[in-house]
Amino acid sequence: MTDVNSSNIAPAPSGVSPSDYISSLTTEQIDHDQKLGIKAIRLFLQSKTSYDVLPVSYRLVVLETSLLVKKSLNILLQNNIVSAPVWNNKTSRFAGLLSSSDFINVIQYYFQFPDKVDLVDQLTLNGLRDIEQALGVDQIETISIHPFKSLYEACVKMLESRSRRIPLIDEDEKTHREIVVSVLTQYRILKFVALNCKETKMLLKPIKDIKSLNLSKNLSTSTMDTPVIDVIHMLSKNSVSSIPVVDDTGKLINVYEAYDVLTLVKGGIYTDLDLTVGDALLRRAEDFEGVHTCTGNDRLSTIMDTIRKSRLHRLFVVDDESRLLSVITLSDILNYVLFGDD
Amino acid sequence: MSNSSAPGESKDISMVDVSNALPDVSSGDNQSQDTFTAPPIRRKSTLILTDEDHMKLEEPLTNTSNTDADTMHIDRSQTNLNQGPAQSSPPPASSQSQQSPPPPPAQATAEADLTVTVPVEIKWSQGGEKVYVTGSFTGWRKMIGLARQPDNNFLITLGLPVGTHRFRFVIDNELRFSDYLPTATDQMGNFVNYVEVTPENVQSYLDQQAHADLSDEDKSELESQLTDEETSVGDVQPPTSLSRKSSISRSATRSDSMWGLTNDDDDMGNGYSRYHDEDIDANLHKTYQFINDIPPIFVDPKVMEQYYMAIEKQSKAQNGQQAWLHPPQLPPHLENVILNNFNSMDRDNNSGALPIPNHVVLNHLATTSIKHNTLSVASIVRYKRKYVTQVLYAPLQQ
Repeated sequence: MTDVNSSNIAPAPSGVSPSDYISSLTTEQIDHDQKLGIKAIRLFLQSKTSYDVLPVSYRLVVLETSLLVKKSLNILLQNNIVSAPVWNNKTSRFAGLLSSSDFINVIQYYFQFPDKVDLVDQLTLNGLRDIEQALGVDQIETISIHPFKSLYEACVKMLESRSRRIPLIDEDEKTHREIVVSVLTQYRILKFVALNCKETKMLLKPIKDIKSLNLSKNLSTSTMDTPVIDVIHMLSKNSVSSIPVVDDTGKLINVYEAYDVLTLVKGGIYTDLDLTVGDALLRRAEDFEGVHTCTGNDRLSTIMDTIRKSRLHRLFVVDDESRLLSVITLSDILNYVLFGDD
Repeated sequence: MSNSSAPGESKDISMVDVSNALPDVSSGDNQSQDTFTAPPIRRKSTLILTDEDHMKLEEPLTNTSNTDADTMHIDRSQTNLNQGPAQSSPPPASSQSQQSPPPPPAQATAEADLTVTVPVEIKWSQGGEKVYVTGSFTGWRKMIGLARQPDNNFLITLGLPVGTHRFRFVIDNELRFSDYLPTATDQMGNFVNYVEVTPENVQSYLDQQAHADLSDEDKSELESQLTDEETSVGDVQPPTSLSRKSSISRSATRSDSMWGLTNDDDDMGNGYSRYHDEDIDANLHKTYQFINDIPPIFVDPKVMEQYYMAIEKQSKAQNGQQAWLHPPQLPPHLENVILNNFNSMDRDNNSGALPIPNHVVLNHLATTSIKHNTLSVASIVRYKRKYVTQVLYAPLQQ
């Protein structure tokens, strides 16, 4: 279990009394710098391609469509990844991405039709589309982008389709068949920006003053005693990647992530759906990163610095008593960088 | 997987002419008895993705009688030149590398002499006053100043050993990268420029040096080739025109391949050269007939058994080993499986970054043993200037 107090509450930027320096700036100066910084980052995203983000040599795990869903789950956990591109051997084509939302769909299907246990047990990746149809959930459009298109375009495509990752697809020069080159996530793009774009230091505006990061969200929460299946329904219904766990006073104490679903049904066991969130969270790996929080006075410069240092997928905005106020997701940040502050 | 079994143990049935299998085998054995006294030590012949760590790098040979085997890994043209001896030498080479202590887990380039450096020009043409370069070649500590050129560009020529060198520029105290050089993110996610010095670069540079020493007349001409070489570093182009020509002329004097099927040179591309066997070369002018029937040895259990019995007798008479029971040996380069170096629990490495593969392992298929009815295969391919190691999981056919 993670103690929120010990988790990464955005650290103050290092240097010679930086807060003095920042407080010496007028609001106009900060506004001006913020605009310049955002513009520079935008230019950076336009000038670099998805290919640039890739290391010189890297690994890519691909799954075949006739693989059983439960085995795919083991492969994901074994390789410590949360998603993988799916490849159709028969057509030699890219067949979409397998991600935690697929497992959420399977769980919901099983919950709805508990008599179809055999079907769920023998379900292949091919069959996931049928499950989606039976549940009536929105089919996630399979988007992709060429690796030599700019990062900016990749971000736009991701935001439009509300997906957190985008596969990079090219065509073989000789056979003209698709090649899955890699998959980029919002986190990797933002980390790339945080590492290689020094203009992130200019983003000194407190996030409470940034309009597009403060849109009121209909935040669903759960308590430690909520049945985990209810939380899974919430994840699916709101198409979000996590549900914050709060106590009676509204204090943030933990978070249930879509990724945690993978460990819940590990080994193809769908019988633990009546657990409470608290019990389900006990299955989480020892090296869980923790819950990242920030306050309205924090700045994007420190948030980007945290992204550079640790793997985070969202920040919960809390008040001084660590009561949950709002959430800032990576999409929110990307959306602001791409379209905000004009 | 390519075949590298030496004549003494070429019991891979596909390599043997079935119609006269027994004479062939015995002649092969006779030949090997002349060449070898001790049987080679067997090694695993499957590439393993996980569980085990087979990260043995090739050590430079210390066995003086077979120095050709060493150069074979470095330059294709050399391979052609030394075709005969190189072919008979793999067993000593492999046993040698097995006895040697495991080398440090450095870049997969230990075949070449790391003390040899190739001049590499590093150029900055994006302005600035004070231009420095810093990189993996100085441990990222020292900065090396670049000299301003008449055209306002900055230039430095560094002597770099084989390997991939990452670097960045420091322009007026600001860390930058060049838009005109290859770029990539390293394992930490930093965006850097990089240059790749391959064993071919070193060898062709050494060749040119040797030629330059030979004649003063050609010096000016060779110097122009040297600069050619300098600019082509980072590419994985074949050696420069000089060594290429020599390779063709050498192979032209050579006789045809063992089956007498081809008239092209021995260079198969991708660093491979055609397999030659000295005693089979003698049968060169024999004409072979193509047939559509599957030879009985593959379909008739009786013939198969007879064949195996015969080979077993031969090998028992030779050294008591049942050589044919074992699969052929794996070329030593392929033992370096970069996926075995991958720690999937490393949270900092969220881009799945792997070490740079040695080019000889490209386009090979690696696999694990089949577990839970799931087959996983992997292969490393080039994508533009980067390497993708794709691992595909597929179920066995049901």
